[in-house]
Amino acid sequence: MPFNLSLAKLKNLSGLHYVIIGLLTVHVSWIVFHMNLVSKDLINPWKLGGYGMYTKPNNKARLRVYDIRDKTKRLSKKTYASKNFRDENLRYIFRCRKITEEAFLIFLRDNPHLANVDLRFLIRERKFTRSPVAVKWVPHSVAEIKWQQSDKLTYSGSVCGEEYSGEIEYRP
Amino acid sequence: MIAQSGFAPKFSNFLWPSENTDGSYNSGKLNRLAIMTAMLSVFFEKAGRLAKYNVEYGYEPIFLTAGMLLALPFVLVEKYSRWAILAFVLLLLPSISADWVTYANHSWLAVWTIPVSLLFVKYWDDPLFADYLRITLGVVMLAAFAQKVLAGTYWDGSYIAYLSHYGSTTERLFGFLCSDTTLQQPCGWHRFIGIFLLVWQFAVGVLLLVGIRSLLFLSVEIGFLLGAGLFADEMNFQVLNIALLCIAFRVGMSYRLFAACVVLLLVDMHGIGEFIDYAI
Repeated sequence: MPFNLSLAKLKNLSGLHYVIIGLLTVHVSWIVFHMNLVSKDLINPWKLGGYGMYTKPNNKARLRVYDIRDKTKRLSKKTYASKNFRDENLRYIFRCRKITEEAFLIFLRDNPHLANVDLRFLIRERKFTRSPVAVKWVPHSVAEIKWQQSDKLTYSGSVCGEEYSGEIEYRP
Repeated sequence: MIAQSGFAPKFSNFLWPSENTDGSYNSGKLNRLAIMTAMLSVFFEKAGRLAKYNVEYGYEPIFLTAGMLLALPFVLVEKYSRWAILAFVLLLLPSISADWVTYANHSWLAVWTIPVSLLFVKYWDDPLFADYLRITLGVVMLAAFAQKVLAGTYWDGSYIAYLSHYGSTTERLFGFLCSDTTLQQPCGWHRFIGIFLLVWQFAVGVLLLVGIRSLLFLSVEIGFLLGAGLFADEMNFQVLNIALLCIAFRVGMSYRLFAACVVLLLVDMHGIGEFIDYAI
């Protein structure tokens, strides 16, 4: 019987038994940690191996980019590459993670035609409501970059109620 | 010998291996077939991703996936079984490293189970490996139950109502039970289905942990997994689960069940919903 364990039996366990018990302990610990992150809305429950898929619709976070030089204008997705930007931001799985300086630089490296253009990055996600049952797209994380000189830009943003800012040197 | 339950129905003959002429079972071979089926589900998932292949990704994903396929038949050969699993796991590592953030839950389950077989000299005969898989699957069931309770979307039926109205073709299976007006307040049927799923997952998790290995239980659980796979139009996870359950219950995988799993994986490449849409 699996739960018929006595102290004597525990002493007779082989090294392999301890390895197996260790693996199970790590797995359970990770699931508990994952649930803790989900309960605080810090991660997408569908990802990272916590078995939280099909608990609610996948939030499917998506990026929009705007040119904010004069009048705010949304850029067509066909005019910029965002795969590496998305990868650098861990595909938006960690919901309250700030957009990194490296991500801004990667975006500019992948889209040199947007250098010297003030930009707004808006990450939207699908939000599930239970009463009434519906899903709607809502802005979740926003950041802006503004060029001070051709080799220097400032950035600012907010995510999960936290604001951040900084300065980056840009070398094409 | 297989621990045959007195309650096992006759249809289980389709699922479970029949006895050899001397009354014995070649469980080692059938367990190797089961782990190969689990690996096959991983291979199919990777092959499915190649459908979105872009030449910018280089040729590495193609070589790695082809390598996985080549390793699979050797899993069946006792002498090379562990080497084949080792090769498969090594070929899998680059994709885990590159895609860990978006790795699907069933892929993580494969990571927690398939490589562990390498720790055993004869994983196909080792009851400790079978127990490890049984407990892992029980934990996964309870984790899925706990996540659903945490979300609260099954108690009130809101997630079933959502799928019934906005889901894919197969996910709208229970749509006929309630009208559109129930989006304001999920109807009784959708609440019942949500609560039933919770109770089922909890019960299966507990029964696996306790160590129930009745073939009736296994047959019903496989039937439920197939139903869930049909509903979610996602057979990869179900085939992986079924293969691992066959080892956990120490019966191995019959050739007929293996053939059924291969068919399901092939259908899954396109999606059951697509077939239904085409037929309708």
